[in-house]
Amino acid sequence: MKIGVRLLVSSMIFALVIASIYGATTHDVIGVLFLGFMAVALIVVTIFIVVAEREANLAGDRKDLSASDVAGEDLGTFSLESYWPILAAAGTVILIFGVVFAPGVSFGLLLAGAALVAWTLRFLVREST
Amino acid sequence: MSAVAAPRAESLVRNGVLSWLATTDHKRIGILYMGSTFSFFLLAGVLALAMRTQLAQANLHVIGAHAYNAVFTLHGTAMIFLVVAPFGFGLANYLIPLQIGAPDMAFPRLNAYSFWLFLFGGIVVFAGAGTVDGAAASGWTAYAPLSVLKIGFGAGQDLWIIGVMLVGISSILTSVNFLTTVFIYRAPGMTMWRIPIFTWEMVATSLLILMAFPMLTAVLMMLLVDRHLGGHFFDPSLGGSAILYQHLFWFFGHPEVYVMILPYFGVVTEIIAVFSRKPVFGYTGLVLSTFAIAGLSMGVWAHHMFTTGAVVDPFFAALSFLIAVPTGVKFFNWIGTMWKGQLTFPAPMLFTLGFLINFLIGGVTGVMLGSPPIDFQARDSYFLVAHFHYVLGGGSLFAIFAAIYFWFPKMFGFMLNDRLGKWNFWLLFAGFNVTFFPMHFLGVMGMVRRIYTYPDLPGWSTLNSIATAGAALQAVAVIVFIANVYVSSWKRIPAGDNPWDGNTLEWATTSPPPELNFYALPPIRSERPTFDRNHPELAAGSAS
Repeated sequence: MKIGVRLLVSSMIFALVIASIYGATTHDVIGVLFLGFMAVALIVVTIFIVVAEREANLAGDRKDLSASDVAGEDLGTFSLESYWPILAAAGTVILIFGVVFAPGVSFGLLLAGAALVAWTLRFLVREST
Repeated sequence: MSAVAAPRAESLVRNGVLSWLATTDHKRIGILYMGSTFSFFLLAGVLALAMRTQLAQANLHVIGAHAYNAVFTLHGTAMIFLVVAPFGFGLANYLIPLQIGAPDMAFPRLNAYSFWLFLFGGIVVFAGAGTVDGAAASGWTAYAPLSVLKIGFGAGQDLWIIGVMLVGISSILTSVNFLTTVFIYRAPGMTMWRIPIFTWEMVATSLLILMAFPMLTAVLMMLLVDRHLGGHFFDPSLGGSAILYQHLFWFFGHPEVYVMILPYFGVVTEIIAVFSRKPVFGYTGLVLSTFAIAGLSMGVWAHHMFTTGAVVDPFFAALSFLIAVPTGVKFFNWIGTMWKGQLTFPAPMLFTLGFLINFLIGGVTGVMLGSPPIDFQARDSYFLVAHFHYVLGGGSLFAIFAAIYFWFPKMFGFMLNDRLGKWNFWLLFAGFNVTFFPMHFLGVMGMVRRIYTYPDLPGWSTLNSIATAGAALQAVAVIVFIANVYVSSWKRIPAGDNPWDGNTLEWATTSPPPELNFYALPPIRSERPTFDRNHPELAAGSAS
């Protein structure tokens, strides 16, 4: 994981350096903003990974560990089937159609919203049992 | 060999079409992605044949001017947004959890949601063809202010914007899923320096998507505001800036080129190592060069805008040239992997070699176009068309076929016919080069792209006829591929778990893999754990 963090930090530094050079040589605000936002985005991803690593204590980061060393460890539940994603996607499409072509906003919002609620509720119910 | 940690499966246990609509299994979603992209590829291919028929001779009028604009717009959109990039997502969906020893993607339902958004987005783009004004006709770049116009660019253009936006959002969600899976769900012992190169390439690709694709969503939203809510972002006649559109679009657009090629760098690396019977040469160099390419690709957007006169050409030319260095490192490593290897040449390896040759030609012409004086001459000419087709057609498309022939046995449990695969390769290789190589000359002779017909100037008709004949040959190659899938499905020659004596973890499970992927995992002590298990005498760290 450390290597992942290092790569991201290197990319972030690269973005900052290139933004500075670009700004100094071109005085173009658009490009500086773009490259600056890129650096910020990389900072966010890096923080996420650092926090995730701290909380997870990943077996994948330990060189000499084998699957047998963690046999029986619960990796959580992996859904194999659910109708909510396709319904949520259909709702999203209708919603965006509605924004552009007027009719359908309410129906799209309703469908996407209902599907997302059902999707989330299913997750919450499962986690509490 | 040891047992895996225990994930719990949650299944509605249904079969048939409904199970595919409801699936959240990464392998099935991967297959859905690849099947959908192949369907879009066939549509894009038919459109390409229509274009080549129209251009076969001077002064032909097989299809009209506006229809031709719509045809090349849909062809470009389909190949870029619906075929080359998403096939990589499909392959990664199938392979990443298998290659890192995970039971599934980190967010299975989000994965399914991403796929359906992608598919619906693609359908919406093509649905524009059924509207009164016809499909979008402003090119795959939808340059403003052309794309802001409503006359002649009606609902079809709106549907294009909505569809591409959906595909973009889908890509962002998919990237989040890939990154989380790789960083969090690696099997015990699968450290970052042991993950296969293909997975590394997808990490870099996902980061690129996270940086670049939100810009696509933003620029398309702005376009919709201009078209429907009275905005003036991009209309110069009302105080907007067409150059701003180009900046925003290419902030996304150039990294997108690498989103379309990095996954396939991973594919050819895996295949070359297996068919050279050697470990990957310069593993670390390959990883670092990938990140160098990804980083540099974020800083070269305006080399698509040299001729606007609104950008600082030397800055973007210098960074564009620099990308050739890490790309050269990759070529060096691929050659190093093959060097003194025990090379064999089944269909996947032939397609890989085709990739190397074509991509090299496309790469060299890319460096040429990175030079502003040459770009000023070649911009918008057929030289440019030849260049990017060599990169994304001769490069990515050949790698797609290589990937299909290589991993098909793992996905479906039976082999594709190798003899037909070789026919497929040679027809496609010949057809591709006959189509696109003459376009370099047409470009130098002054033929510009996106014209639906042309006058009978010396040499133009001959070269265009050759290109059209090459396109027909490519169509035959695709028909041979479809026939191969049909014949092989009928014969069903069992593949076994590891038909190629592969290196990486996907070859350590059954073909096709079970739900949640593994009954047992081998110890992971190098970047090729399956090879280590099957050849302990040659394994990493063995005394011999």
